[in-house]
Amino acid sequence: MPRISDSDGGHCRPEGMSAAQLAPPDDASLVQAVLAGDVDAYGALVDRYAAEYMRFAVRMLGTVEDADEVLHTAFYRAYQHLGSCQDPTRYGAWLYRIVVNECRTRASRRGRRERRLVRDEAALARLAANDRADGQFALREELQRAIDQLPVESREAFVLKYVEELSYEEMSEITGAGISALKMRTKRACERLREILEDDRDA
Amino acid sequence: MRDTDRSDHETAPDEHDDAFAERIAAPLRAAERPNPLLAARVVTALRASKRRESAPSPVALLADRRSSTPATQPAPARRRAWWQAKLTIGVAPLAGLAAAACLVVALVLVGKRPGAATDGRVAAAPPAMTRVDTVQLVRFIFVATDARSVALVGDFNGWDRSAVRLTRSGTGGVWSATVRLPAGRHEYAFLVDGERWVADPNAPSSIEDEFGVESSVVTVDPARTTSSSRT
Repeated sequence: MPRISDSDGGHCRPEGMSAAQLAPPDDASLVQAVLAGDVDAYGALVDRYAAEYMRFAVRMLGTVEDADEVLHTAFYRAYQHLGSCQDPTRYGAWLYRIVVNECRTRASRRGRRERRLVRDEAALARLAANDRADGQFALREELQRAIDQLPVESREAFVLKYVEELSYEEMSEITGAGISALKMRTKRACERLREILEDDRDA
Repeated sequence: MRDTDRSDHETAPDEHDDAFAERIAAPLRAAERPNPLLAARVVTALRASKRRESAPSPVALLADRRSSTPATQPAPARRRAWWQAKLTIGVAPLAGLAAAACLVVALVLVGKRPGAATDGRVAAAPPAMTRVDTVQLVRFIFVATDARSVALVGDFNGWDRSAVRLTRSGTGGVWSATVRLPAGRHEYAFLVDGERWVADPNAPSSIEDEFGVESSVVTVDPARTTSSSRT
């Protein structure tokens, strides 16, 4: 495919193609294609949003394997209910609710994870300082074990608020909970995390 | 203690909480990469599901008069009435349609077992092996005098807005459709004029509202296994 300089000299694109043709299809276009019977178009949606929501699923469930399973279930169910997505332009937010619910359901069924030693804050700070570029891994593992011990609702609120950095309004839309309740849950999550760290320091 | 009984500083994170949470959360913001095969697996599963849905129905197979399972214990032959009606009628005002009353009637019609007599005569054919009635017909009736279209949308048709359109009979605003449902729990709602979702006011509400649609639940009883004694 010949590369032709555009008039601004900064972009090259195949001859005859406009910028609009090069842009990836938006969510609404993909949703409409899926509803028209194009199952492959759904694969594009999965790719797009699996990357968006994988982190949340891992933080909620603790392992990549569990997160992978839950995302698979969430995407499958979302496809089955795609006709009820009232605004395809907001497919991402609609899907987020499904992912959050699936994670909550799975986490509730699994119960509390086996408690593992979590170092105190000072030790965590040393871990952070000593970790090499590829191994904030150790620190993440420690912190993951700490949030694994939170009750599901508190964990969910903590992850959405502080890890995913959503506003309380966004959290309310996704979880269906009121803003006051969400603030309470994040407050309790912080209190509980302090207890977890102090308990292990004292142990 | 209710959330509202506590003062603000006890019910919401303060600055110290935020600073503490930031130290915990910052490392946890590292990206987690999904399995690169996830999309392919989902699409494969969806295609397999579609193939299963388009497979010949068990009713069609039973029409060949092949027995599916041997009788495990002899039981007296049971004759069914051709249809067995279970009628639930509820009337409730429908918000936004001042002139319309909303009725939803679910009739569960149990399908006729192939080969069974229905008028009291003993079938001349050899007694059948154990058969399972698999046809479960559910009739939905919706009354809305001012509606232009009503669709039945649920998990049994993939929430497809165009899959089941109710048919209006007469001029009284009675819309109806009969659908075949497998045994189990099903969520559904009515879509009026292509834009307004209406749950069945006389059916249990779905507790799963994660899709943003207020829906109802219908539970179809498992078909009874019928068998006839060997001669």
